[in-house]
Amino acid sequence: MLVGEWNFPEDLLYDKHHQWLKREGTTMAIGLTDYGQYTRGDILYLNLPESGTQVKLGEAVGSLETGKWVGRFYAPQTGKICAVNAEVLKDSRLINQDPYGRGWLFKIERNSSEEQLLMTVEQLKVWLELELKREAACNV
Amino acid sequence: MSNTHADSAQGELTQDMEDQGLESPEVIQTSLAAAMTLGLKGGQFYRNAKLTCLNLLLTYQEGCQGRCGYCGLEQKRSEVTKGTTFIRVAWPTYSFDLILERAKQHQNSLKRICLSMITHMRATEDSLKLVTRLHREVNLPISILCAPTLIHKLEDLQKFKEAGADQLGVSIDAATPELFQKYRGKGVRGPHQWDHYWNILRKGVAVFGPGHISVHLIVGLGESEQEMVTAFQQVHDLGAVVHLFSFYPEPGSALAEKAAPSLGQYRRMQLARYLIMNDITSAKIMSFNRSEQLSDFGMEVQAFVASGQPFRTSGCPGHDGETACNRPYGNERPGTTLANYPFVPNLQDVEQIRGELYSGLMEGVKSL
Repeated sequence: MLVGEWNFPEDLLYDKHHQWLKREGTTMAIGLTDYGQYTRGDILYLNLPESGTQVKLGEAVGSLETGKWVGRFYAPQTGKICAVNAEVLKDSRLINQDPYGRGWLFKIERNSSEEQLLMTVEQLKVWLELELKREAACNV
Repeated sequence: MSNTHADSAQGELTQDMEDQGLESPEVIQTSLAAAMTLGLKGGQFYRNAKLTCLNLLLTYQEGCQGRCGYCGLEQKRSEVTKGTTFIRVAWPTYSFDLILERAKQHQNSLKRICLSMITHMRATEDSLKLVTRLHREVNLPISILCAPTLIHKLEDLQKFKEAGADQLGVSIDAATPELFQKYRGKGVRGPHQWDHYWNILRKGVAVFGPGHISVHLIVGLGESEQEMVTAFQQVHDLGAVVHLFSFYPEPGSALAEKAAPSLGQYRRMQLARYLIMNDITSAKIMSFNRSEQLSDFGMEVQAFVASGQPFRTSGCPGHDGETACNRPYGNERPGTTLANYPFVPNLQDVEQIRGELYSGLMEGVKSL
């Protein structure tokens, strides 16, 4: 589905940090959305949690840096990091080039029912359109 | 699941330039910040900084004929990193017509355009063409950052002014003749000469008038603080203004392994520059310790520090007299302590600056 100029696959879930999430059994894969990668810019440096790290819902677990900005990745649920994408650590441009494919970031294995409220693509559309309007109003 | 935003590199010709031999004046490089501001590249600015000067750079297949040891455009930079960054980040290439069109669309949020020459035999002629078009079609003041090695006559500078530039920049970069020679001249078998740069500076003042000439100086190339302050005073006495940069090691350049200057050194140089350029004090009033560090400004500086103004990026002004060329994160990675603030530092920033101002002094430590 397109929201504004950005692509959001229907089979994924989304959070308000512009991350996408894909449930795969007891694990969840996490990446940055098309909108997230575009608005952050070309990613130059990346820090991801190590495999085996216990993370808590909402906790900052990694960081990224573009030419002019720095920001963080957040854990969308409590659990253990069970996989980290070594490819993006070698070439962070993959996040910009293929955010829903080779640009995935890390996977969490759930060991708690604690999970943030995630959005379907329809819910994301409503939320993001409001955000874009708010942003446009601020830029006037 | 591999779709991505189609416009993430809208109109960018960086690869085509190499493949198809595109060069200035048909194409032009812009700073990453400018490309973002013109909507040609995605991205956002740390702390919501806003770029107010459109920085453009001439580009040729042969590159710059200078061999400056600290520069990202240097010819002999390793093949892996050659042309990848200049002043810390990538400079994407676009058609000049596209930049012109976008500049017109964004002229209300911008305050100035700066066109940088490089040392290439066609650069003077092409700069004149581009300044003329920018002046005719965009309602913004224009700076030309000239390549002095290509310029020999007063008339050459006169032509820039007639084409529509109101500010001339001369990148002397090194504060002493020895450092200039070492990193830009004979030391790197480069074409640039210290005396010639200062001659062009004097000619520039004669043509553009006092206050309309800027000199770029880079802190951290190996000069002492006293040498840098002496250079500030010399530039000021000639009627020009210093715009200050903090050395940043460009990967692959000859100085890639050299450390950036300490924040203490840079803060003292920012404050000294501000006080001298604004005629608040002069170099002869300031005191230096045996390590030639600036240990005493010779006056009460607390109010100036509290204003945060000395620590903002120094650059050419807009019509409002405020700095237009604010180069967000051109000297440091975003998120780290800022060498140059692209906005007025807030109270927390000022508090941090106070702690940095006298740090690293070998003797004569002061506190605010």
